[in-house]
Amino acid sequence: MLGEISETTFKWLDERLSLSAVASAAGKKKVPLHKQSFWYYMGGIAMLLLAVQFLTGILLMVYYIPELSSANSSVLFINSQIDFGWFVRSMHSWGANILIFVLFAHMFSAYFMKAYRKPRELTWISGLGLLMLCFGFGFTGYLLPWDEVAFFATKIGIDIAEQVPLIGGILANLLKGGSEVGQGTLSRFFLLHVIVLPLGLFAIAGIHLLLVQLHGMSEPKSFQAQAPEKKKYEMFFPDFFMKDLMVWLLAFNVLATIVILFPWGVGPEADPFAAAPAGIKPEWYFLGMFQFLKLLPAHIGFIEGEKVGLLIFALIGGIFAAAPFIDKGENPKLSMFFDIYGLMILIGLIAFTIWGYLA
Amino acid sequence: MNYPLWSIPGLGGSWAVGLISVIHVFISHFAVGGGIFFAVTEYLALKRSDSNDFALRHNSEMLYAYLRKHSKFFMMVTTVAGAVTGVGIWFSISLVSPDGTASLIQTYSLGWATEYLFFVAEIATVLVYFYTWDKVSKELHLALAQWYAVLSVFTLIIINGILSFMLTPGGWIESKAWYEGFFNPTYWPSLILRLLVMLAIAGMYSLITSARLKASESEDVANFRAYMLKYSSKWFIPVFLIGPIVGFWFFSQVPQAVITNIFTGIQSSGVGNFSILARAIYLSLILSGTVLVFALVGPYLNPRGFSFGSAVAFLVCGLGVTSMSEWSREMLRKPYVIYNYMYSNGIRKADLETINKDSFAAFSKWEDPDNIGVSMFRQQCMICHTTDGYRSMKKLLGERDLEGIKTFLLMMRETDPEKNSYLNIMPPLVGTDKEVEALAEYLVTLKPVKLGV
Amino acid sequence: MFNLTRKDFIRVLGGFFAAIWAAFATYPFFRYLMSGAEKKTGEDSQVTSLSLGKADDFIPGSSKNFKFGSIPALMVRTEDGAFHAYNAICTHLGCTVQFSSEKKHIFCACV
Repeated sequence: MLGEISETTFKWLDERLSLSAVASAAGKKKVPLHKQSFWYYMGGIAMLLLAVQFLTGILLMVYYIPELSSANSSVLFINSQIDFGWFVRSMHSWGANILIFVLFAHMFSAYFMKAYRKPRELTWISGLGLLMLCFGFGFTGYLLPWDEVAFFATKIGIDIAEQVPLIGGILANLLKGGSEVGQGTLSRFFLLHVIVLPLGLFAIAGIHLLLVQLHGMSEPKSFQAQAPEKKKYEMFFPDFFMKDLMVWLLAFNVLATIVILFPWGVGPEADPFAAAPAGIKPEWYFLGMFQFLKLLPAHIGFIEGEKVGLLIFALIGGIFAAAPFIDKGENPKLSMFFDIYGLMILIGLIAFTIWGYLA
Repeated sequence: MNYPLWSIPGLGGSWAVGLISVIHVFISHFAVGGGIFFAVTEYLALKRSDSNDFALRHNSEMLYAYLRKHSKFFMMVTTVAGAVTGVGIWFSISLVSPDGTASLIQTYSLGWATEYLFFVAEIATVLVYFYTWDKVSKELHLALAQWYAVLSVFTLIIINGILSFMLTPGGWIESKAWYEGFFNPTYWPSLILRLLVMLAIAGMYSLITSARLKASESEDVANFRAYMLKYSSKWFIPVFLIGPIVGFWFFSQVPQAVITNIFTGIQSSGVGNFSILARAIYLSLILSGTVLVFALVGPYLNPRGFSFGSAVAFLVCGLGVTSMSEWSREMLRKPYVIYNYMYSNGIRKADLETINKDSFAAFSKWEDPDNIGVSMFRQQCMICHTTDGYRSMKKLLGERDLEGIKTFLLMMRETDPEKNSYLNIMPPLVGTDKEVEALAEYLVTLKPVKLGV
Repeated sequence: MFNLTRKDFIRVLGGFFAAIWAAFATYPFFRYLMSGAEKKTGEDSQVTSLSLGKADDFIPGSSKNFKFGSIPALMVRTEDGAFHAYNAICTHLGCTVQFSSEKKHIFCACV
């Protein structure tokens, strides 16, 4: 009887949504099986974590008040008065950090597996765009609890934004929304965090996912080189999808364990007129860049040190992003160059982050 | 305080006991659940061996080969690792919490003796079971499996009485009759709960052996591998169906004060020690739920895609659930080692007044008269706290000075919950004013000395 | 029509227990949303009396809507000079009622 019911329901929906076309398309998708298959799960984990951010973000907005005198106490209220408020809040904070980490892993694994090559150039660019958006989420979200550390870290962040050549001053003013970091900043950051960035994220993530479906999984060169009969594939649906679910469960368990054993606290409310407390540091994913900027002298030639630093970042990042347009896979030397280039960025990033952490 | 204590800097004694116990629990649950698993699976194999259907007869042969392989793994894990960690628990608890251990032994001498008897019989049977493959008739071999299952369940029946007694001693507090403590309010729910979990753990271990079958060998092996993975995952069904109901039953038998403790944790403070109990229970629920979904989407729905790596990851998840659940159960008892009778630091509730009137020194045989503060700390605090590691005193004392510490300790000595808000998670301090002062003087030395202003 | 097979039965049973587990999983979020309404701020329950001004300021036949803790309230001085205070929440739709000095009755604008 149940079989009949589900059959009728499916038929009804199918006639209106052409589900079978989607199903047959999904049924064709194959995932290559090889030693690096593990990295295929990163995108899925990122998607799961984004969903967690989205849901917990909505829940936090239920009690959060983006107003200068209430922001900190409303977060404290969530953390200490609302049932499971600590859980939702910690889930959001820890989830954000783990998400950035997973995105890094996703990006570098795609990079080193040369998954950005034709026809996946746009997938690569949209992926980088998503990472930038997530940085934006991190930066704007960090301020919202309006605690001491967030306040000063934001000041530093805006200060750095001011150094962007040509548009720096305008950018900083747009972010600040007032003469100093205050209510204007909080309102803007809130708006960016809950409306503007999510809309952008949906758009770009949609394109990114669509492209992934269009092109299928990228196959690393070592796999392509194998004889056709040796190549092993599995079906995306249901085999890989089931595995994806298992990985999601594991990722969720890791997140839940961290959240529950080390719940995220709330710092003391920011006092704009108090001296900055010791040990103000940006979030770990900005720490490497921050440390690099700190090393530069105040002036290099005619230009300010930080400006030079930002130009260097733009150059390094630009080449990194342009990889698919230069390294097309025809020239082994170029391919090698990009391998080393990526490795240097990865090592540099890790080294500067650790340095920044210890400093 | 009749015995000297073992001091483990940084980690703390309770963690040493905890780590050993969790591994032991995960193995001993396999020992019992696995017993039932062997009995049932071998029964299936025997029944199918004289079937008219060729496929079933073939399946029976494969099952026998599988069971033989699995039994080696089973024997190694349960007799070696299980026994070593089991003895390890005794060693560690008697060093870390000698008074609690003494109470348990004195109350249940006969229980422990019986437990030991069953345990020895169990080990002997598993050895015989493993070494008689192909040497005795199939029927006799099955009987050995069944006999093993009975013995192992009996070890659970006994130890469950003692473990649940610690949380809910029930009528024993008044009557001191062993059977009232043994068949205490949480005896039945925790017995059933443990049995359910044991079946799931047996399935979990079986997934390991099944995943190790090489699908690439032949289509036949690949099919049997998928069959075994699916079969193993079905051992999760009992806990999926009955688990929540028995869970409710268990919590309905737990003292009201404990439940209040849990809910305070959910409501009022996410950060801090008060809520850790609620958080631990919640985590073990999340992990149990995800383990079930994992079993569904992994070995049950997609057995061919379930690799050995997935099985290991799954086993780690299982260990996670076991650790969290056992840890929560231990913390439910807080601040007692035997609920409402003996505090976690080995002091009997009934002795509080006498000690406060005479002195802790008169009560403790191991007090060092020159270092009263240190003795007080070791015997009353160290069961849960370390100086600068886990639940570090240095950190918890914060900015308090000598006077602040003294006031705090005097508050800790109160036995009225109105005056001492820590009473529901920590044993009250005992001792005379002088002894409390000595403890404060010792504690203040733990703090880093501040130089300058 | 209603022929439940064994497979169907197992499915329904499985679904039922899955729903129990799902309820466990969503309970915290339910509590999260519920507890906001259950938290009472201190002032609400504490107000037992308050002053609206001097009695002479209210001519007979006048009225005043005011806040009593967190509850909207209405005070009416009737023609005979007596003071009457009411909870101003209308029993019909829960709006706040008012006093009409022309018609000399209490009415609610929410129809």
